[in-house]
Amino acid sequence: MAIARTVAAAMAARADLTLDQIEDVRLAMDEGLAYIIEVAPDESMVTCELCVADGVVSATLASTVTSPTVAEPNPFAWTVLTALVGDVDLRVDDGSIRLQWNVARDASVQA
Amino acid sequence: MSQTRQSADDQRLAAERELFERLHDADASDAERSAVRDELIETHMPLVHHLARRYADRGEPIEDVTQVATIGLIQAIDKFDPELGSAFSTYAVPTILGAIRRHFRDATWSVKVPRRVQELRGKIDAAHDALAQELGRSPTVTEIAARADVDPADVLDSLELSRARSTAPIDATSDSEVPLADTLGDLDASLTNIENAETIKRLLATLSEQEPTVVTLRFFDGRTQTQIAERVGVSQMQVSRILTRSLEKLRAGLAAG
Repeated sequence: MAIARTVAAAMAARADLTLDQIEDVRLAMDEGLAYIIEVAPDESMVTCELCVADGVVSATLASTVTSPTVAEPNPFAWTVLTALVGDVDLRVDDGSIRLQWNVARDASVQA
Repeated sequence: MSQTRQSADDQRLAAERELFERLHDADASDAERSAVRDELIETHMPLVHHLARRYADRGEPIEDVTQVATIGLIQAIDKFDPELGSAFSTYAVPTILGAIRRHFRDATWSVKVPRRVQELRGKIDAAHDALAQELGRSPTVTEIAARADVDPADVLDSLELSRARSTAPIDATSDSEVPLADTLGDLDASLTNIENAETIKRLLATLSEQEPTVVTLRFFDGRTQTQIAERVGVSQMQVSRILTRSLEKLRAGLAAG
């Protein structure tokens, strides 16, 4: 998790996000991964995809799940996640769970 | 998002909205407003704890982090304007995080870092603060690097370093290792004894007549005053006087170094 956080922060810095946004990315990574790891069955693979394009950092955290009903995220974790990052989307289908979000560069930053 | 979570959220938001309306109700008495404010603070304390825990492993006591986070929450409650239409949590989370991050920025560094890193951090902090003032928002790494005239990679390094502020206790053990404290040398207490012995030897030499003999018999051989009196051939009273006088001289000599 520490590696995912640090990599995400480094990519956010490269995308010219502000220091506060970089911290937000780090925290969102923490919240998101904590949840996915919790609901993922033992021995399953959790993947974490980060993408930087046009000043937007987007993250996709995913894992396989064995049951179609997955525990809801902790309401505080969800509150924090939705307050920190944009377009938070959680999907459970076809035996997989996927959590996506993104953070866009501040409009006033000269790219 | 699932149906149940959606409706639970709606209910929570409606309740929250009502509380804020009562908080800003011009007709309400101060006591009523104060009660509503307390209720808002209490209902959001779990959020404060949740956020504070995220910063639990960064070397500051969790109680301190919770305290600044709570102050952040209270500020958010006092400043939040429900008329603007957004949910309170959207406003509260950044405000609470801001309070926590300020606390970490202002907290002293307990890790001793090389001078170069310290100076770099000073430059970067200064550039950060100036830019934040000018821009009215947090600056980017590129902006800080340009202002401080340093490499962007150095800014990133410095940011990472400033997170690593915690110190491990010297007697902490991991399974296979000897505690660090046990591997460190210490000043040998007997070194001080040698110093004292040398000093006393020198001072004893400054004493006159029977004084060195009396002191030696009393304190190094452990004889009683009566035994010394017999041995030296004086009265016990005189031994007592010689001892008092000698000790005064020795003390004066020690104090003079």
